[in-house]
Amino acid sequence: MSEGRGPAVETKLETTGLHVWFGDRHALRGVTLSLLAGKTVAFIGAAGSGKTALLRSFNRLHDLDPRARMHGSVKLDGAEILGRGIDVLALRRRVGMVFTRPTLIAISIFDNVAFGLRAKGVADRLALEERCERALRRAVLWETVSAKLDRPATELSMEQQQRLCVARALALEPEVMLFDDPTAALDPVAGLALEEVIMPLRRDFTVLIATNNLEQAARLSDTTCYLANGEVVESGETPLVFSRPSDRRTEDFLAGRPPGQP
Amino acid sequence: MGLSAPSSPAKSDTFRERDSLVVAAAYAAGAAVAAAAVAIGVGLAAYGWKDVAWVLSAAGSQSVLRALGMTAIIVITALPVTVSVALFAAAAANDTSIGGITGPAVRESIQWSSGIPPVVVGLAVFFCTIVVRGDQAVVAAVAALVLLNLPNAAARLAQAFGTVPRDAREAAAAVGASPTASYFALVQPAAAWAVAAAVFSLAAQMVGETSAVAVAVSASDAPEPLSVQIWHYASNISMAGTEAAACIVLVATIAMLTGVARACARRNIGATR
Repeated sequence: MSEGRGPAVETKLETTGLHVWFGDRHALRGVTLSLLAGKTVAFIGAAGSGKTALLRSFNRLHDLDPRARMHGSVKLDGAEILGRGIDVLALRRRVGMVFTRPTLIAISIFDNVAFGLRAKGVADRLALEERCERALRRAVLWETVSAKLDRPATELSMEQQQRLCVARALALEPEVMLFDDPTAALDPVAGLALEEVIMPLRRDFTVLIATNNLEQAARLSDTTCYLANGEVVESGETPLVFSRPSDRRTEDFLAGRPPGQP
Repeated sequence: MGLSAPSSPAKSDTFRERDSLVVAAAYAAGAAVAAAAVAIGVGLAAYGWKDVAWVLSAAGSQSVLRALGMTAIIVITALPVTVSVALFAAAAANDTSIGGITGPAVRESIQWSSGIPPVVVGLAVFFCTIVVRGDQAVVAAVAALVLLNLPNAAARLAQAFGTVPRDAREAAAAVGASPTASYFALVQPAAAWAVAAAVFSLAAQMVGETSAVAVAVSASDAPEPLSVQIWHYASNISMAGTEAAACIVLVATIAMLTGVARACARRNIGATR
């Protein structure tokens, strides 16, 4: 996906022949991709096509699943991140992730945002407060929660909880943000509101978003990558992929046709 | 071609009949359990109700209060040891990223060791006290209770930790928390009520534990815990009333602990909803 770009743009993430298995299920089949720094990439494809499996390869979240096996190469800024001897915790601080459903991991709003910072070893209360405020502001949540940071996060609406998850990831000031279908659990209005949060992040981060919402992919991304059965079928600049897909399978998917039908 | 009825009239009530049988069997089983509980309660009350006040105030070797005190000392000593070790065993068994290759071994040993009869555990501790020429009844009783209850405690705590959603652990990992850090910062607090329920339930079990403790402390002349004292004098029919009264005290103590455990478990269900 680096074709046609100027030499000044660096490759942020790179996969070569990446395979992922969950037990006997072959979820990714030799994916080779090059993702540019500072760009937003949307991964589209049917359920089970490998979008989530691919995203989780970039922060090694597959390590938590004893059934998962990975083979191939994944590089962040040119450095291999698969294999032994990698500081996976440090990697996950550089590659933040927001999941499909808002996942609260502490009782209070503040503790949720501060969780990653505390895990990193930040103990100074002032530093924690300053970084949490900055993250909450970027997630457009500060005005809503600033007066009730010690209240349980469960009191927030679903969309606000998802913004809180965005803030939690942003608090660590990552270089890459992974969004795994972040609006799937939200109603359309709340989904659009969350997109408004993601939109400005594109300026400062490399953003990868897996989504089943094609309009969202078109709105948010510079580059779109279509996956089917664990393989990359087509990738390219978003307007091109959506208007003139080069592969018949992509065309069928975008048109909502079952594969291979006229 | 027209649609036919999904089943013939003769077979239409098959599921209802089967369901009725299952419901009837469930009622019968429930009634049997309730009847057994009532029979035990009536038997104890008939023999011992009048003597409850007396056994609580009696002095000497049959003092129930002294035996309860001994029980409390043993349980209060054994419980923290058991729970501390079981917490780490449960962590290793529950989370492969913590337990690594020891996880499956811990899980297997929890399964296998929970089947060891209490009297065997008590005898093992008894042999150890002979080898070290010890006459420490409390230490022997504590050792017996810890060894006996560790597998059960680890299994209960592992089950309690399992109530924390996997999503939350993944989210903690995604912000760079180590498996151990997220375990102690996330899983344990989230499962706090379930852990409390497991601890009180374990205490209730320890209070009632008899055979392992009786065998383990048999080399000592020290005061016996209540369950052992009851077992000791149970064969003396002339003391049936006082033994039944002591049983009422023991059952009431266990029921109180079980009640607290149930309340904690209900609180945990409310917290995880």
